[in-house]
Amino acid sequence: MHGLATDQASWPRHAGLWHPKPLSLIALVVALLIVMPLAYVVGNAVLVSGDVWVQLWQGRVPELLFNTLRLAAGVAAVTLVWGVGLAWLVVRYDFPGRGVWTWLLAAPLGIPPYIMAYVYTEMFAYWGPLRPLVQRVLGADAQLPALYDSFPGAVLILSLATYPYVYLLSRAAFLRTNVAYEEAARLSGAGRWRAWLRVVLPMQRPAVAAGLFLVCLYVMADFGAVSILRYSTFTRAVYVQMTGRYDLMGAAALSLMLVVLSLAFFAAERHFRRRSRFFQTTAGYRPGSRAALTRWHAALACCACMALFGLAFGVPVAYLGVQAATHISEGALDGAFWGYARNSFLGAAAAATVAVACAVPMAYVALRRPSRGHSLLLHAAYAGYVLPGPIVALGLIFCTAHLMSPVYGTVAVVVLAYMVRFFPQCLQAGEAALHQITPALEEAGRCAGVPLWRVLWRVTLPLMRPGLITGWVLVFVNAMKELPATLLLRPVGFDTLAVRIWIETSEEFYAQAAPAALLLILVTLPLLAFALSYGSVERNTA
Amino acid sequence: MPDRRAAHFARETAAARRGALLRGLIALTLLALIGWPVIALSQTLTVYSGRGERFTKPVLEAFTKQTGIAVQVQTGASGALLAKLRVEGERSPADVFITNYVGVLQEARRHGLLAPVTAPTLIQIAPEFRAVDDTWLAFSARLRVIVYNTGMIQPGAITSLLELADPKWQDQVGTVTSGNQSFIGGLSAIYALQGEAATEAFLRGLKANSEGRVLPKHTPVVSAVAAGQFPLGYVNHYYYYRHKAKEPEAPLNILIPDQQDGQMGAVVTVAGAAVLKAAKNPAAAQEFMAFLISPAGQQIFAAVNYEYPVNSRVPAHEAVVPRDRIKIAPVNLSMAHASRDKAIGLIDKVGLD
Repeated sequence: MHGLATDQASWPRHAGLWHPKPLSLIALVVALLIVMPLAYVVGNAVLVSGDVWVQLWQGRVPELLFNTLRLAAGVAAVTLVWGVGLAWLVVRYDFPGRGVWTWLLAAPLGIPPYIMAYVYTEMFAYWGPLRPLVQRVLGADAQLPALYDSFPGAVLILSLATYPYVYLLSRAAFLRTNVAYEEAARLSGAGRWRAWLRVVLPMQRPAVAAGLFLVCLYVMADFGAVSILRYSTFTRAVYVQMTGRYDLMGAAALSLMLVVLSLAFFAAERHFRRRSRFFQTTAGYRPGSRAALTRWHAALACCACMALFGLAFGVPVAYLGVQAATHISEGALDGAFWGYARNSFLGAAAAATVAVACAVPMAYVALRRPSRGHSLLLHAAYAGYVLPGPIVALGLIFCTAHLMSPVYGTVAVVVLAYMVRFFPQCLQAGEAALHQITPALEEAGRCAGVPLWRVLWRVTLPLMRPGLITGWVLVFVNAMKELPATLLLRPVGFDTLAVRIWIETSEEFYAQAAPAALLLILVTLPLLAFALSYGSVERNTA
Repeated sequence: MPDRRAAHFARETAAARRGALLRGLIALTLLALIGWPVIALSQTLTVYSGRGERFTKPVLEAFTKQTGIAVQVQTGASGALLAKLRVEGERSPADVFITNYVGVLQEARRHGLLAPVTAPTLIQIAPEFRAVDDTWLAFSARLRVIVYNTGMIQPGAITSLLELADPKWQDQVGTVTSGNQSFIGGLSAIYALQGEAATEAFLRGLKANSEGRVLPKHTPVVSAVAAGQFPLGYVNHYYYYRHKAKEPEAPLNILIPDQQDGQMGAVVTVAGAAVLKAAKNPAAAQEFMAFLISPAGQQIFAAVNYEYPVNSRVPAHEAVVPRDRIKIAPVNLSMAHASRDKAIGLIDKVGLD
């Protein structure tokens, strides 16, 4: 831990002694817990013989690599346009229903990608409701494109499911941006577009890059949607290796390749961020005023919002609603059902709260006391994000069952799995928020003789709050949706809504899964609304 | 001045709200972490089940009713549960492992995870439905069959699974994705019976005939055949009966393939169960196994999913073709499992979806 010792200077009382500071220590413990599944993967992968590596490499790996990268790039491109465009629209323009659209556009976050994929493949299927409709309009010979095995299909479905990440993080960044810079550009003679492209957008680079990074890794780690769409990525191959071929080591080897790939993404994102570090002081901060749109433009804006919201949220929810209606009338909402809902809710809330509590020290030491040790901790925290859910579960089973057996088989392990899988989302949001707070504010507090924890509590945390709320909601929503790790790690008898959906659909009784899917989605709605309005209210009164 | 006071007041209430929110979240977290200590009752039998809960639950409930032993079940995917058992090792809380595909149990046996079943009634089960050392046993059997649209295909136009590869059925066959365990199980049996060359030819033909008609699950294959999207589907027998139970008027029929002289007989895949070596309640686990193959247990499988009981004293569901009218392919399950890896290798080689 050489790196931990190098920044002693900022903590004079213990100068000269190796004395890890509390924040570093917390970050270290968090990183150690999170890195457990990765350690398991590496431990297994080193046992894989050279022949097997060669075989894996010559076999499907090049194709999987191409498929995975292509999908990540495609989804990143689409979500970039949708996410940034809509965020700008709702932050800086006024049109009817803007306030409602602001949070409705984030609502698809509550829809698990596997449900999105399921609903759309059903709709496009031979027996689906779309075909007769299309044939009536376009003639009897009209054929629907199949969503299976299709690259555009996979890009579309995953973009619909993930664009809210880019949207939310860009929106938060646009809200924090001082309009003075833009005005300065305009006064200097830049046109509206030029000012936007050259001044406003570059300032959002950290947030946008963070959003795209989340999207790319999410796509790479997604298992449910690509399985339904039958699009082969690394993660899908890992699962087949593990459960179809009973080859845990091969699965570990493939997972390790995935991790290496994600590190490349990580390095790229860091690079972007280093090149564009912007601090904004609150002195002279003014939020941008919203320009009213003319009637036609307003109608266009509404249509754009409506189209995306309809595709990403309206259609799936309506489809599930129709399926659920009959099933609910037959009494599906019994006590057990609400028990599953409670399990989902509390598990996700615990994970989100723990994640926020851990993200603050982690982001703080990484940004405010940059050192090799701290950046290693930060990297470690991202380790689990790209690991496929089933592999995360196996790693945690191995480590907790054999090293911390009293904990094994409790909800704590499930919460830990959510942390491993989704902590980076919280960390990203936290880091992005901390990025825009100038260290001068904290230094002022420290100069006034206020202890660090008090400065954090009184100055840093309140300023980070919109970011942390976003982080909390991201972890909560994802933990609600999480399936593969929960399926393997939950204590016996601890079923969540997502687990119920899997159980019902695995035996191909789809209608029975609809009520749980619907509740899962609807629960996240008020939460997102709360998070968004709370965050922005804070912004305006700050 | 009132302005400033109002602003101050607003700040205070915001702070109070913040505090309440924080306290609420911390309380929630604590609740979630300690709210459900796992009550490991020693009398409770723990079952890992790779089989749909809908089909295991009635059996488990009947078992509890008969013996008074409480059962808790963890449902998951068979292969994933096997991986979990392997990683858990001695620490596993599981007593019994149930899977839809006996190949998974054979694999568990290979890893030394299973203990022999000791039920005295074991001899009522034919040897081909048990492991050679009785470490697992099958409790229900499924047939790999062809469903066809009666408006598009004449009865007798096709009689064998292998004919699904015939070029005359180009673009007319729907099947489930080759990752499906039933698909692999059936193919392993075909491999064991027909050898490598014939199996590869079958896969190549099937691939050509089912181009664009490979669906993720069996249910949509049956639905598509019923809707006339393609005339032939390659599925497990009970999906046909499920569809018929829901839509009795559907133009759909079942063909139990390879029944004629010189043909191989119907290919079977089975669901099975085993007692784990690391079981904490081995006695209860053995009792459960005995119940599974007892007439009472067997009846339930027949009733809930149209499957064939392995206990020959128990008749199948009245809707399905009686077992004694079916010629079953002479494949030992252990034998079929031995060819599983080769079958998967062929799937890769041919490049099936």
